[in-house]
Amino acid sequence: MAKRRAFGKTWWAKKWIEALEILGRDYSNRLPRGRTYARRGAVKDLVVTPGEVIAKVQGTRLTPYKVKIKIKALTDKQWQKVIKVLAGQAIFAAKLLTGEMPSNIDEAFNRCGLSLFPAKASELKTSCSCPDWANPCKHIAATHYILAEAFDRDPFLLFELRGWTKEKVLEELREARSLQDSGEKETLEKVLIDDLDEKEFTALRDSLEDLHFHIAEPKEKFAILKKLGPLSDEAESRLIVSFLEQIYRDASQIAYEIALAFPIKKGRK
Amino acid sequence: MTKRRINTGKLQVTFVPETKGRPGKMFFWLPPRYEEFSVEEALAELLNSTPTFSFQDTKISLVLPASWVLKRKPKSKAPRVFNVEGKTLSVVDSITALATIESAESSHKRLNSSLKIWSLAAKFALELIVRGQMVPYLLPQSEGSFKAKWKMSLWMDKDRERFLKLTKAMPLSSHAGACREKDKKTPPAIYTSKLILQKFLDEAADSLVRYSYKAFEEKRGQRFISEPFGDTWYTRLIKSLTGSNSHFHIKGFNERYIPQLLNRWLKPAATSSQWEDYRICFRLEMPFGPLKDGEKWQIRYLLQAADDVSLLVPSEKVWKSSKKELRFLNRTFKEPQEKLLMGLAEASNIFPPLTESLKTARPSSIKIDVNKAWNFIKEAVPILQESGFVVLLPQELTRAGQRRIKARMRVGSGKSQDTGESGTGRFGLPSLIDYQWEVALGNETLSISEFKQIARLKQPLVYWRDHWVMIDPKEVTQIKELFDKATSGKLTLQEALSASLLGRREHSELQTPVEVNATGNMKALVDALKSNKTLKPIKTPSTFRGKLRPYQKRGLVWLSGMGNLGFGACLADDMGLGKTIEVIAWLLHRKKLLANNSHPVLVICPTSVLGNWQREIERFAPNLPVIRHHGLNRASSKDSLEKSFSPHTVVLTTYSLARRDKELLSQIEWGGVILDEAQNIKNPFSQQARATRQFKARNRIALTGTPVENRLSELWSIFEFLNPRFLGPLKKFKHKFAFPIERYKDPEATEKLKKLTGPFLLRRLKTDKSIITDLPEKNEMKVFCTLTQEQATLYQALLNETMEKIEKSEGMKRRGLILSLITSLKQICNHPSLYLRENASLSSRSGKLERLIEMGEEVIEEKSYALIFTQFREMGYLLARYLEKKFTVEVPFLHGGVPTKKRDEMVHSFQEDEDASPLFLISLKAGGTGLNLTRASFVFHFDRWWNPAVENQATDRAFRIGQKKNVQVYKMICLGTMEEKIDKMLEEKKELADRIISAGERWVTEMSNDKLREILTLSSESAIDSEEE
Repeated sequence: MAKRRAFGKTWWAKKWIEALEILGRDYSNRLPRGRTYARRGAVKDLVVTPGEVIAKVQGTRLTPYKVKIKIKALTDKQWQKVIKVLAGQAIFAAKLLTGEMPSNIDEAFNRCGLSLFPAKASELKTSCSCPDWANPCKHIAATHYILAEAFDRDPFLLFELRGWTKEKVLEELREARSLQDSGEKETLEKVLIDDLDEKEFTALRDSLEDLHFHIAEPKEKFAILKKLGPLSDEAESRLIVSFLEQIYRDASQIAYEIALAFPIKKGRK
Repeated sequence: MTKRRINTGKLQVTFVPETKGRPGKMFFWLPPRYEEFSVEEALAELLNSTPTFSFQDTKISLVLPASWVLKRKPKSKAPRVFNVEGKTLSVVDSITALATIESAESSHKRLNSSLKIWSLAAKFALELIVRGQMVPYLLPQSEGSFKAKWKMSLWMDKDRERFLKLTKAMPLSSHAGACREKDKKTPPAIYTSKLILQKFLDEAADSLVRYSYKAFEEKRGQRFISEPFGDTWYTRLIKSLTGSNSHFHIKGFNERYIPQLLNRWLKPAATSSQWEDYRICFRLEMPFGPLKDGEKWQIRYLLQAADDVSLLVPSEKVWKSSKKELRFLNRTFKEPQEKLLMGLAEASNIFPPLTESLKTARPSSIKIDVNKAWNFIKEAVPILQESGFVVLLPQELTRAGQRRIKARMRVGSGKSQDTGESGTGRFGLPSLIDYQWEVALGNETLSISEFKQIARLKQPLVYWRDHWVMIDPKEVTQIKELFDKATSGKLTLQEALSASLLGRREHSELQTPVEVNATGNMKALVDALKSNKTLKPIKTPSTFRGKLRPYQKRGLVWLSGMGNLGFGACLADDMGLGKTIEVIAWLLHRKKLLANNSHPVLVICPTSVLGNWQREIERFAPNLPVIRHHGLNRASSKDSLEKSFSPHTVVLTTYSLARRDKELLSQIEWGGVILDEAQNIKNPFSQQARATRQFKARNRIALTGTPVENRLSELWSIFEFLNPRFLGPLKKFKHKFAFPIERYKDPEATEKLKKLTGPFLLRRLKTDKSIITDLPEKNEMKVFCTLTQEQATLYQALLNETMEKIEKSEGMKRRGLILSLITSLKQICNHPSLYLRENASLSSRSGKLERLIEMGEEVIEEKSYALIFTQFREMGYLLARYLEKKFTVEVPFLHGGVPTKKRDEMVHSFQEDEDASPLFLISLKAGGTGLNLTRASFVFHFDRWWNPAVENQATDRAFRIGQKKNVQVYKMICLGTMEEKIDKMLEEKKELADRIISAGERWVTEMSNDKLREILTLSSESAIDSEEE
């Protein structure tokens, strides 16, 4: 049973669709068609770069149409302002640092007189190589929907479109909070051996007497999966996590059997 | 065919990580130019099997010490890169093989440290996978192409600690794979231990996940991801994560986000949530008294210093400080704000209500209602703790302090039920014991109506009698169901006893083991068993000729206490503490106590100590009748055997006869059966183990000097003799105790087994403080050994022949004949081969040698060191050869012909080396001078030099000033031979001894012919039948 593909489930993707809908007020019949196109998989390629989205949409012709969506990227100065605001609030920093998009992120932009999402029609410049005179045409609309889906999955694409990659944002955010990366120094991969004597070579370098292990069914079977939380809010996420759970269960079972297996008896082949 | 000596300690193991797409492998090898045996043979010996794994011949380039590669002595310590031949094994196979190797100290196999390391690493990997500590990830290959792999995540403290412990101990040989092409300018390089161990664990995670998937696929006959899910990115991903092909391709742009999505998701598992100096801590605070309207529970956020759990910093302090570092009570917390925030964000995935507080700028706590508090305790706390957070619960809600509602078993009944088997001890407990179910809240027993009242509240956290208590609705339902079925039942005595000793018992219908309370006579029994070791001493029987040391008196009390209770007892004191004497004292005590119950007692021992038992009983308990059930003329029917009994007779026999005459011996009603050197029944399936279990006896005692508490199937077998069925069926015992303890040193299993077996086991070590003070610094003992038939025949023949010549000669010639005869007789007592100068097999031909092997085994078991002196250089060679074969160690032999430099090396190696041979052979003459061998705590005089001064000088090699251990000195003497007689003379006539000092052994030559014959003649009891061996 195929589920109807929905676009713009997350609030930020919804915002994007809203923006589209504002733009498409005059040509409302193009939007449903665009959605059908998107559902059909007509959008063949989508590249997001700062300030620009380029997509290839398969229309009625053999060669796909080229769709461009331009939006003003923020300047570094504008970004710095945003970062300052973000750094000032615990929840923004905490969520972003762990890889989540804070739900009220736009507030931070708004406070700097900016917006992460296109607020006015004039902010978006779109073009398509198809002969349809309407803008948005159904190809542009389809691209919008697919873009919304991409935002659903990776909200940081929004940042990228607006000029800064996620990494850059986080780095600046860290700096703003004077958070220096205190991670361990890259461990040396290799050791050079200048001299080596036999004893040093074979002797244990430290006592292992108090090292012990405990083989038992864990109290929490998928603690690691629970710690990680859901993969995303898509329906597949639950499916993939349940597959993983099965894999963990199986591996745990086999490892348990190996761990407490009876030793192989002499002569048994 | 003689078995070749294979020293598994030579076998090296190196992990070679994945290179160029070839999976990582475990590489088994021997030092180059080592030719005594092959890698294959060493592996077969190690794994107890002809290799069933698919080993592959491989050459691997390793960085080795120059001395391993060069024939000449190397000039510098510069290492060499050398292509070593060996065998490789896949990671799954090597884990399977290495996990079965025991890592407990008691392991009898010699293991190279690299093998120890990889065996431990294999076990570590298994534990991590059982607990599900692996995570998938995508490894980028080229644009849009990835490898979907698994790696091990070490995000928990205890895992990181163990990881570091292993890497710190890893010898270079365990990661010696050369990782750079030979380059003359830079020295060769190897991967760091950290990198290698992480790579091994990752490889283990990846290959075991795929392996288990395949195993289950075969079992289930299908993949669990089947067609209905279609060809989507996630089915492809799961396939790459489980199948043999790990490639994962991204199809089209709309999957472009997947790697990022996965990596972001996995980030918390990939990085450790544990910080070195401090942790994030959640403290649940409850309202005082019953909940008033609107009042709430609260979770407070704090920082806790890692090295001082009492040092807690409230988060308010964290927010007030604007610096990168927070100083609090002389301690520095680095970047506390960021870490607190990240921690909170992560924790809010586990316990969503925390998210609320993140909406404030300076989160420091949240308030929650009682149901959420319950969810927090029940569901979030275990995961938070597993994730590296600290959770502090109010004392009355922690596991230890919890007043939870629970089902409890009351085992035993108030009345002492006499089943007619009076006098069996055990407080007259029948073979089936009643138990009743009851409900308890904490330690309080609840009445049925109280239980119902609580159950009706349907609240997980209830304020009950001035305390908050946790009522798990699931548990309440379970208890109700349990009650509906039956409120009482029966356990076997063995089950009841083990449950009462452990204080808990697993129940098929309950998740957690139920608490067990012993009552009535059951409680009396358990208390008695537990207190047995601390009872007041009883008077040593007046018939005992000798003096018991304080710890031996305690041993006697314990033996008699266990005897009265009717349970079998295992006395497992270290060798040399005098177990035989304690048992002899107990036999006398028993004789006095049970005047009317004069059943005989059967002592089963190895042939080599039969004579010793007889001598010791004669010496310490001369009025205790002893007979030997032994030899060709032994009794063959019940009647004839019983005819030889007087009251309290001690019957001595051997294990092989116990097996052969089990029909006869099991017809006798024994007062007691005693197994000496009980490790002889270590194989529970052996005929002799089965035979010993058949004998009917009121009391059973097992004596052993080997640390049985670590040799678990041996322990089981001994317990099966002592207290049948108490430890359950062997197979279950192995899974529950033997494997977890022997392989994993599992603390939980160890603790449990200790509780179960402790009351029945008394083991004192020579190194125990209280024992050391009881022992003399130098403890001399005589070990009486028996001659084999071959020895006795040789002895008698030579004596007859030479005595004739002696009687016919005089002067120098006579003297010469006598001295040569004494030497020859001594040689025969040592070993026929020594006298005959032949090169046949040494096994089972000398009583002395057999006994030395048995005692040597105990020395090695104890991880002690021993010196063995002999006056014959040839004997030294024979012993070295035989001991090396028996114990697969290189036994050094120091004699007059060893050059000074080599001698110094031998001494130094014995004193200092970690893997030095536990046994050191010395010729009596060479050993007399200037050697310092204080590592030894045992000294054996394999033969006698009838000159105490010379013997003492030798003994003092081990016993020197600065020696902190007690030294046990054993003088080995063949029973009934001139060795015993001369020894007796020396003991009896001190002045003679003084004369000898100046005269060597010449004094013997001055004896009259009659006196000489008397001394040298073999008495009848000396030999044992070789027929029975």
